[in-house]
Amino acid sequence: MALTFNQRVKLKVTRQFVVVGVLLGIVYIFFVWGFSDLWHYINGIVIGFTIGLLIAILELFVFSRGAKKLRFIWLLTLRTFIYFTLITLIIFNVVVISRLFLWDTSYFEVLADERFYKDYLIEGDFSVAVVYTLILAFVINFIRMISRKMGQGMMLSFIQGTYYAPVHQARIFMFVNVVGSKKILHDLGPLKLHGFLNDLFYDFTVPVVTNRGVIYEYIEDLVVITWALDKGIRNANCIRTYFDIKETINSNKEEYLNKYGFIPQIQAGLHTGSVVRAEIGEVKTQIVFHGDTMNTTSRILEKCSELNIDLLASDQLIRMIGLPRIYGKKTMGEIDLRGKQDRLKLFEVIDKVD
Amino acid sequence: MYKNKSLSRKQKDSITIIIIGILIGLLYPTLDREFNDLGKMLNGPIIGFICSSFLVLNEIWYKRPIFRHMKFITVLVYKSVLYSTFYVLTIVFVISLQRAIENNTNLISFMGSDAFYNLIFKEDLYLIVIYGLTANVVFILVYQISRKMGQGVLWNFIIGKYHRAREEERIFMFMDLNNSTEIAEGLGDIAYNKLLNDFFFDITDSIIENYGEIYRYVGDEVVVSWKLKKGLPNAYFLRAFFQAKRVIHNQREKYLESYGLVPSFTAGFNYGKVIVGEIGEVKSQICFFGDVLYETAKLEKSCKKYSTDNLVAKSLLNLVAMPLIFTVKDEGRVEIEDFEPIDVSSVTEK
Repeated sequence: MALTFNQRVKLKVTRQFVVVGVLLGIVYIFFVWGFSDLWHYINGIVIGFTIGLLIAILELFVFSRGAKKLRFIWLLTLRTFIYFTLITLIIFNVVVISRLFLWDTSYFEVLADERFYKDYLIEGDFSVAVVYTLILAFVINFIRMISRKMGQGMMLSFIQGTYYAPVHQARIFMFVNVVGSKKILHDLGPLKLHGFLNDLFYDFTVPVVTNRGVIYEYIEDLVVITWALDKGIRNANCIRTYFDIKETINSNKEEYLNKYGFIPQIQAGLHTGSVVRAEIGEVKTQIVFHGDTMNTTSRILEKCSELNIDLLASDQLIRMIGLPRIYGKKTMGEIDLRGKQDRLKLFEVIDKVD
Repeated sequence: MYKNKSLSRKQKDSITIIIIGILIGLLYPTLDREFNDLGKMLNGPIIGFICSSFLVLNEIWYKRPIFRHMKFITVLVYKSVLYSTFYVLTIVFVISLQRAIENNTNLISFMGSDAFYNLIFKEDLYLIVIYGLTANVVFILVYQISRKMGQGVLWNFIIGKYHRAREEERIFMFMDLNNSTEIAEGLGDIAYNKLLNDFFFDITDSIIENYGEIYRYVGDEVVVSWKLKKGLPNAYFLRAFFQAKRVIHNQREKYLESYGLVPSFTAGFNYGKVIVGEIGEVKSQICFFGDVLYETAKLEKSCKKYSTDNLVAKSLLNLVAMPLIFTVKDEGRVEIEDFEPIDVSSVTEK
């Protein structure tokens, strides 16, 4: 059975969690028991495996949509609490069940056994394991949640210092903005504008992530999305992203209409080229892209609003992409861009089965 | 000289960290359930106190400029080595001292005894050290990330200060490198990026010492904001700009030798109500929304037309008790498309 991209991502995440769970289980047993009986290790591995699996399921299906509603600190507390409860229950049960085999008795007899409740629960290492779990659940959730706030891959890039020295990269860029944002600001006022943009950008998340894009930055009402060249070209991911976002907005249009009185229309410019990627700034550090490609992309977006076209892509990009059959391209000819010497050949991309 | 009050902030941070350190220290013997052993219960918090004080001194009070030009991972490794050495020594010292007191001997003779050998090689010393270091690595990781994210950003995310958008009155400064397009073409992308990095790096202290918060870098532009009550006293927002100018001027030789030019820049200032709120999910930013952002950007762009390096909205200048060192000159009125025109002045330093 072929898996969709979404399912593959979920599978990958699940695998990561399970591996980390098993490793932490082994580490814990090592610290508490050293190189001792095998059954300690089996317990550790079973506990780690179950916990990893459970957390993956929770993360992928329960918490994945919570970020919009809840404050960081409440979400963190909730996560920590639920993890903690589940993990404690799992540890308790795995230990009981393993003793059940070891002592060859029944579940409740184990519970009633003094060796269990007195030696293990009260005076043994159960409480240590519980606190260890609580601390780990807190720290891991905390770092994962910050990492998500920083943007895809950002924390890792900072830690590894990947862009500490400037690096040349060939990338695809899509600049997306809302049609008539200044008018929206005037009509809604800044407070409602914030709510509106937050709702709108929220609808970007799934289309961008599933099409392998990276949300790089929000500048007022502009969203900068970028792909590594191969990821953006494959399957025409970069073009699909635009139409996927449009579809997401379309499926939520009633909510937009009720809340803000209009349905947002988005325009996008797509371009590819070489950029310099580097960390910049000290007390606040950003990983930035510099280069002509950025300027050109923003000029292409300007053309969109000038010509009232939804999606314009440069010739360089279109030549690399095998356009899927549902999309069509219409040449706009060579076009002058503000502040650019050379004219650029642009294409309008449309959804043929709109 | 004007007074620098950022001390209180440092002090607050220090106290928080030391308290956390003591609690983490207390946690260890608690986990081991050594409640009957007063010595062990005391050792934990004492070690926590010494180690976190060292951390505070090192991270907050003692600034080492060499770190600024090191990779994140290098800094992390360097600090880990530094701290592990210090922690091992502290832990051994404190425990030995406690045992020596317990056994009514002095430290030196305790260190010569078998008990000391047992402490180092037979007991749970390695666990204590690993415990301390783990706490330390997590702390430094979070601290470094917090620095990367910008002043207060991480904290505001955590407490969710701007989870629901709120209105604030803020001063904005848009600062922009002159002739950046030509410079970029002349230098090439990589060298241009280095120039920008040096430039932003050099002006950072001027901004922070005057209580500015760096909002973001967009291309060659840096956007700085002040809460009204932080920026107005002593005209801090203006001082940030002029101090940055002085810093770049002092570094002119370095720039000339590395890039063949000395960067010059212009700035626009205005204040107004903005909405501050978190935005985005898979990447979140704390963003400002409001007319004042458009207006200030426009003021900055108008500097060239008025042949001055700064334009300040008059309404903002009216709020400031102007320090004697600044001279204000009327520059008329800037028209902004879709917005009300703004009366502006330029400021020079005597």
